[in-house]
Amino acid sequence: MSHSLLEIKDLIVSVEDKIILNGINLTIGSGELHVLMGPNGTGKSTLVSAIMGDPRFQIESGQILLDGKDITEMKADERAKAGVFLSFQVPEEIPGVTLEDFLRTAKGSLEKRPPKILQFKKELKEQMKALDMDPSYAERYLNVGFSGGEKKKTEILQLLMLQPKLALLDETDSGLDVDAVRTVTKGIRAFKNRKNGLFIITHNARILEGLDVDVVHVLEGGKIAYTGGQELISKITQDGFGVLGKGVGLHEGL
Amino acid sequence: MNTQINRLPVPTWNRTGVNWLDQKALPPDREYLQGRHLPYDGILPHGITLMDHLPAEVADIKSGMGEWLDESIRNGADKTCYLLGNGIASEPVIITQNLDLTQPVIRTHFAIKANPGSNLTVVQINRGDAKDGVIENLTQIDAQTDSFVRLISIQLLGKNSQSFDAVGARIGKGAKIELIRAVFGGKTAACGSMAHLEGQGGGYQQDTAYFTDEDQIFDFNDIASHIGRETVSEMHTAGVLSGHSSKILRGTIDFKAGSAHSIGHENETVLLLSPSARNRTVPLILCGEEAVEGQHAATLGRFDEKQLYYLCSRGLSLMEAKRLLVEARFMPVLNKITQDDLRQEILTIIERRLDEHEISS
Repeated sequence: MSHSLLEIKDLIVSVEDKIILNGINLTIGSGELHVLMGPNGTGKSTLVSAIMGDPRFQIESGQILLDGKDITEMKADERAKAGVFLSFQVPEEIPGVTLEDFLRTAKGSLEKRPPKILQFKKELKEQMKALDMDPSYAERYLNVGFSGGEKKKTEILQLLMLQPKLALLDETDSGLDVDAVRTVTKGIRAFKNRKNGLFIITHNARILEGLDVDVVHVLEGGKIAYTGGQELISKITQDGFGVLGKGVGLHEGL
Repeated sequence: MNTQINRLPVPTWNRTGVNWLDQKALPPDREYLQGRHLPYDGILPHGITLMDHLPAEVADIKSGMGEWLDESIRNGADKTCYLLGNGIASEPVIITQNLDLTQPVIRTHFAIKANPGSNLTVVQINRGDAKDGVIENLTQIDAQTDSFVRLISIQLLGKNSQSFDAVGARIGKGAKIELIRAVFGGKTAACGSMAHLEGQGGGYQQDTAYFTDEDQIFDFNDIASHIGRETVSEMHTAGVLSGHSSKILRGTIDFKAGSAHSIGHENETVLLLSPSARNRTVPLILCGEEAVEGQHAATLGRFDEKQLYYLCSRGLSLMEAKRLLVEARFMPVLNKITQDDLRQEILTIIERRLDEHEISS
């Protein structure tokens, strides 16, 4: 039986004194995959960034619980250690730090001890192969000179190597070609199990092909305006957000 | 003779204070004992031999620090090390110089003549400390056709000493020279290099990393002079400034008439850890030829908040993330230092400086 992995209660988030999220309530159980959709500029990225602990966003009130533990006041690194992972929409470039060194450092920080080198290298090689990544990327500086698709694959590689409890994917499929989306989906499938949870922001149903989506949320005006099942995705991708009725889709219509 | 050190090839307004080495960083005004020009007596790897006399064409190669300092070291050197590369050297030549109370002044004249097709690496390590100590090095390199020379210069002096590191390189047809510098120590540290890219297709790569703190004064004057056709220069400098330290980098790419289809790039990134630290960067591109490509870029700033957040989102604490970003700046240089113990020593210095910075901030 699944338990609440992520629980968000009455979350109000602002940036530069402007309220972006205005009373979010959401629960993701272990083993569940939730999808977050919504017109542009409604606060989807703000929501996952607030869950991750982005210091640019101010939590005005409300609570974020992970596995029943209140992480609202925690910093980003503490949340990562608690089990939260965010796949960034625009991953940062870090010159001077190779992908392999970065992953080893991150894994060491999360597990509070350096990973065993041979085992780590073997796992990295296998995961890169599964994601159709050129092994030479491990020796390259993190995201420097990577194409958009390679950066997104690198995010999924990090997800697979770091094995968090909760994965937040912020438009990981944006800008990817058909094959790259399939590879990312393959990576998500490999990650998903009965204990962890996924929260995926997308505008495109392709990334969800072959995945069992449990719940779909639609964000509008800083609130969850609509919640439904998998069937919502095809409905929205075919007919737009207007099909959901009043309020939703106003941004698209402007 | 012009006695200025590290002179900008085309001076700008004097009030900017960047035209040449600041007075505070000049060599002490005192009489030195006449140097004895003692030749290097260490073991050399296969493929490198010692020259008894310096060929005139090598002695003529100008460094980036100016004639006065070049001549002063050439004439007054305590030690000489004239290397001749033949074929591919089996190992790097590693020369360590130690300043101490018994030897508070060291002036060494290095020369490297790389015969056609040869390949060699020379590592110069300068360490130690002495009150009012001075270390002065002049390295003149003649890289002949299709040869490769890598010069790694590591300066780890204490804060009572001054260092002057002059490099002049002539690069022949198809030859390549790499100058790798890591500069950490010294009350003042001045470095000046000049690459004379004379032969067609010659290449020059320079990677410099530095970390200043307290009241250190660092001064660089690096010049890539493109003379031959299709020559390429890449000069990259990355540094961290903390405390009340200051640094000037003059980076010049000079395309002479006849250097058609040559490419010169220079860039610098500076991380400021302290509001009291002062950075000055003077990029200069001189163009006497039309069909050339010259680029310069400089980035100055504090830690990038987005990068820090990204690293923290993977479990690194803020302090770990900052350390990683500082160490990352030195990696292009550290990656070219194949001696593990030396790499580790430099990393330890970086760690210690960061610790000191964190305590004081």
